[in-house]
Amino acid sequence: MQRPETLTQALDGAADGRPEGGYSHLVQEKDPVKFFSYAETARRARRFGAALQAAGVRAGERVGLILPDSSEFVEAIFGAMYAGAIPVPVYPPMNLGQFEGYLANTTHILRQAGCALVVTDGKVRPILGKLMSNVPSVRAVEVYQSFVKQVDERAAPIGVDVRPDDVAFLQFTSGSTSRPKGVTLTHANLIANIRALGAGLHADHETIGLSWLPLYHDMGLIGFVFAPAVLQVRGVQFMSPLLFLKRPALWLRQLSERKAHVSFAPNFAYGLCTTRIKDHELQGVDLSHLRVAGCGAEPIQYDTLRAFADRFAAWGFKRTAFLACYGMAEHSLAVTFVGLEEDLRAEAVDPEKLVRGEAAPSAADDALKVVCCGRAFPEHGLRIVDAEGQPVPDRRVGQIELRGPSVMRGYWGDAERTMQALKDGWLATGDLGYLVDGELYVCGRIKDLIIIHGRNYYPQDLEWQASQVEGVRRGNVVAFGVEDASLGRERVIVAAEVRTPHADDLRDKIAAKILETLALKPDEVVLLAPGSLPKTSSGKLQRHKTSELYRDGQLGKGAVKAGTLDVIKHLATSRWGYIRAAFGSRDAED
Amino acid sequence: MTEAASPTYEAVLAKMFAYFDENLAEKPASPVTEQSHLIQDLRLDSMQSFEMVSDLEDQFGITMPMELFQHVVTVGDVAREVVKVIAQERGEA
Repeated sequence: MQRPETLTQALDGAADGRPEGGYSHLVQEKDPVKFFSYAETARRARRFGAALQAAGVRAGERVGLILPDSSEFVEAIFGAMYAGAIPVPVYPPMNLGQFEGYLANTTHILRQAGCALVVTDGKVRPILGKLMSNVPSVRAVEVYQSFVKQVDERAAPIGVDVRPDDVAFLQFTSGSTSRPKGVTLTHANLIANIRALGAGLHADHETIGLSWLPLYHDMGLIGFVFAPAVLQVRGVQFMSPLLFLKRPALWLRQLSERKAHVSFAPNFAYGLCTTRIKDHELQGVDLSHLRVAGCGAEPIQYDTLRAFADRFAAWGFKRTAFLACYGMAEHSLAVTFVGLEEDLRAEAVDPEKLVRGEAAPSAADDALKVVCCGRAFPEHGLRIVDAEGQPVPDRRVGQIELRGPSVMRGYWGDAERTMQALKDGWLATGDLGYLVDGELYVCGRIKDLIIIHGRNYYPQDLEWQASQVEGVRRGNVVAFGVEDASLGRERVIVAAEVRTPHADDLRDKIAAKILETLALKPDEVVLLAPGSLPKTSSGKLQRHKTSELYRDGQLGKGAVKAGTLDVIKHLATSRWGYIRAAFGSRDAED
Repeated sequence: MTEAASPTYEAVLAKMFAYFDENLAEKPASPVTEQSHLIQDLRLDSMQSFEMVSDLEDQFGITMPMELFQHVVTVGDVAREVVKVIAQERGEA
């Protein structure tokens, strides 16, 4: 069989080559699992593509997809590609009257992408309200079920020739709310990355995958929607991310029931399983078929994964199933993998030396554990550079840069930031790491991104929301995250200058405002007297400096709580923070 | 199981108050009532709301629909949903 060069060819190839293979969907716990073969998925996708054409969507136009149901989502994203349109997955609203923040995000994404049409479901449609008037390019907001019924079941788009260099879809994963970045990926980018990761996983025609990852995120979408078709695996089962969050045991039960071989999740998910799952929820569960439990999308904590392995060994989980990886949307999905069946490895390094950018092994108690993320794929380049962009030798910490067929074309409609990210063919990742014999160890980020539960939050967004609270000195707020091993995630701190420093209710109001609008709960709000936050000579707030002060207990009321942080964590944050700060000056964005 | 044995709205509320009493890391400024707002008053983040729902499911042996969070705002809203689901599930049984 000819190797597919586009994702539409891939789905057609899978439909022909694997008639019994396909996608299964578990949306509600009590509903039966829905199964659609690759062939049936392709037919339904074509129908959606035909409906897009009937609605006047032309090749190259962007179509926003807000579809919580995984079967509708899979059909729609392939369908848009069959029609030559560019699908733009947008995350559905999750919960609790946070619609104000949700709508703002969605509006910015649809506007940045210049979407011509939005397709959603009947439950989300009313929430979208006056979206259309806020995004002038949007001609209609359609409901999936009724939209496809406008054309015949066997309808297919006509006159479309999908080429490898065509844009396959836009991945909005990064950028602050008001200026989201649309990672632009071609079919060729995605096929290259999927081929490489498929080889790394030894994915074959017998492989069964299972995923609860959101499909509007690269790991769920590329890893479990696109890759299975390209690699023609036996099948993939999706379960709703909400089901996992509500009942983590369901993930392990489904893995056992489906005898799944491959699953992926961010670090936090493994921690959630260890703390939330009760033994009685795992009756009869057997995880011995699971040969790859991938871990990526956020910093990997060695202790979190070890705790998971120890806890679930009794149910057949093999520690060697852990596959630590490093990846990012700008590189399609995966950048490095460790070898299959390798034991999870972390290096203990000397924190003092790390301050100076040197990763020296250490046996001391205060050593930092850095997880090995493996090697770059064949035909892909990875290097570590210093602040001047010069490559550095092994064990020197610097910025990770990437090159090769998986690297994005750029950020949609944003030449300025594309030029910042792509220089001479190298993609600057904004992440810090070091190499040892070709293996990558990821240390942290240059940018002040806060990653909680696999989601990226921009400090600017938290700061802006806090500034909206009456009594806060507008624009005099700094938000940042510090690594916290005891939480298994970053600790989120918001420091705000207020007009009356002892107005304790302001602390609550700020926390509530951020929780309502961004669905993120700050771990601590520090109220400060006017003029307490460090500023540059030009009057710009200094985020790194603020977090340094916080850690050293020098920042207003933060002093007391910072003192309770355990020693290693304290060292870790100061070290990463220091290295970050050394590179931060290059980051023009802030 | 008879209809009369189904827990009342008040009984569900009582279970929820007990749950919050045990599980809220920061005590809310005023006591939890049925009018307490899940986010504004109790400061539940999404992980904590999911945890609360799975606890309610365990306590009453029910399965809550996933769209729940698209329309609940207060403690009372959740309790009413629980009563509704219990009634539905017993009706089907």
